[in-house]
Amino acid sequence: MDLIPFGEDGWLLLTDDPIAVATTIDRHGLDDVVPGERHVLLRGPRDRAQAAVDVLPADPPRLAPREPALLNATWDGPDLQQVAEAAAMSRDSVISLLEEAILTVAFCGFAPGFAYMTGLDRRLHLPRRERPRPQVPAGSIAIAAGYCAVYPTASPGGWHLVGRCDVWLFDPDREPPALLAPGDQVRFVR
Amino acid sequence: MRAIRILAAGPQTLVQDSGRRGYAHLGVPRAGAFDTRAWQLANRLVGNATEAASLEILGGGVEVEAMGHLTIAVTGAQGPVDIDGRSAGTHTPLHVAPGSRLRLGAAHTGIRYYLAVSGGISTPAVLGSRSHDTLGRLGPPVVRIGDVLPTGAQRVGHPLVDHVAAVPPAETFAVLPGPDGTDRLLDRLTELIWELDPQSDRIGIRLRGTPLDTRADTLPSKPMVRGAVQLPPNGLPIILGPDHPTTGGYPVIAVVTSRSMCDVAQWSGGPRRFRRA
Repeated sequence: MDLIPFGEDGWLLLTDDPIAVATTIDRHGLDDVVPGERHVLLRGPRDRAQAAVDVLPADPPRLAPREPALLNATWDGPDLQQVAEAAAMSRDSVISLLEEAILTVAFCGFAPGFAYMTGLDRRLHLPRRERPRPQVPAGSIAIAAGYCAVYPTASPGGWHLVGRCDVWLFDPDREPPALLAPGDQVRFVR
Repeated sequence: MRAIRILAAGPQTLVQDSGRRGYAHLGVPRAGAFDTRAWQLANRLVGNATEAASLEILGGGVEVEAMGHLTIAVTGAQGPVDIDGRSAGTHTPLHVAPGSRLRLGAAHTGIRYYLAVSGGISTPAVLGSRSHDTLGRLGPPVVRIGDVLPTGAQRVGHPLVDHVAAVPPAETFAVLPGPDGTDRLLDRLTELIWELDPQSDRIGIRLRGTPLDTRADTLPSKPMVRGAVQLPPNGLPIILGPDHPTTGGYPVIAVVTSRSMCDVAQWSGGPRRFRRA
């Protein structure tokens, strides 16, 4: 597998399964191993990145997922009605689709503990809002661009807010500090 | 206990070290000193380990009182420094007696001062670092009036140099090709003259100038690095700073070298250019 240079100590690996690569790769001597949608970024010296990739199997196996984490959801998001209209279904149908989905954390970004989760029913794949909100409350469950996420802290946001969750997703005093890491699975329950 | 007391905090004063490693896959930015060269130099001037935590001071307007005998050095930006009203210099170790006050005026060259104290600043580390991260709001809080910042044991020796020359920041930034760039885009980036958008911060340095041609769609989100030159749909590049989000979906047309990022950190305005590294 070829490493694409990204700055002086960054090496991008293009892969069909970033989660499998990121969770199986030998991190020894690397500062960070970061999955994205189609890539894994290795941070560190080139020889370390190359060595880690050289011993990677051609089709790295995905670790057997743990039981999905169950997150308590309240479906009262201010955009729920709009989402229902865009998906041409009732609010209850939207909620059912959200509760039936077994979501997988593909990668993190945007803010500490913000996990981009895949596995939403295609009918709930909507573009981002035209106008981002200046402030989205912490714990908001949101969907956009095929992903679902829970905002770990209050921040600006451009996703459709469908509900909220009462869990702390990120706490720097915990180890690991994030509840959800790439590869983890999630289900919403009431 | 030795410490410094903050009598004036300026517009943005942050504790910074080499930043957070090992948590980027959870969305935690690396953070860390923006002008790494000036930060390491300040530590060397006071005899600290080069990665000791020190203050990153935006613009100036800061006054600190020594609580104990301390050696302090100020690097990075250049501007007036005085101790108890007597003029002192940047880029030199300053021996400060208990109760003495060191004052930093408005920077006239560059924009980020680094103030290192013998022993380093020893506020508690969060996820392995004493850096304040402005995106995730992790690490020591933004420095405020009245704060007492204890100093630690990160001193490795006595200062070996009395004074180093202050080098003004370069006005041309060296770039490497980016993973989504084309030769044509890199040519355009290096031909044009760029101004600083005042909305720039430690998350991103925004450029103003003639917009570059952009592709219609965004790309799959990929992990990002400090120095990545992203091209959003408006065609005006953004250079990712130390607190950048760990992933992003805009094409990356170039990457500013780590050395030139020190010059980017000191960019307070005026025209700048890029050149191929």
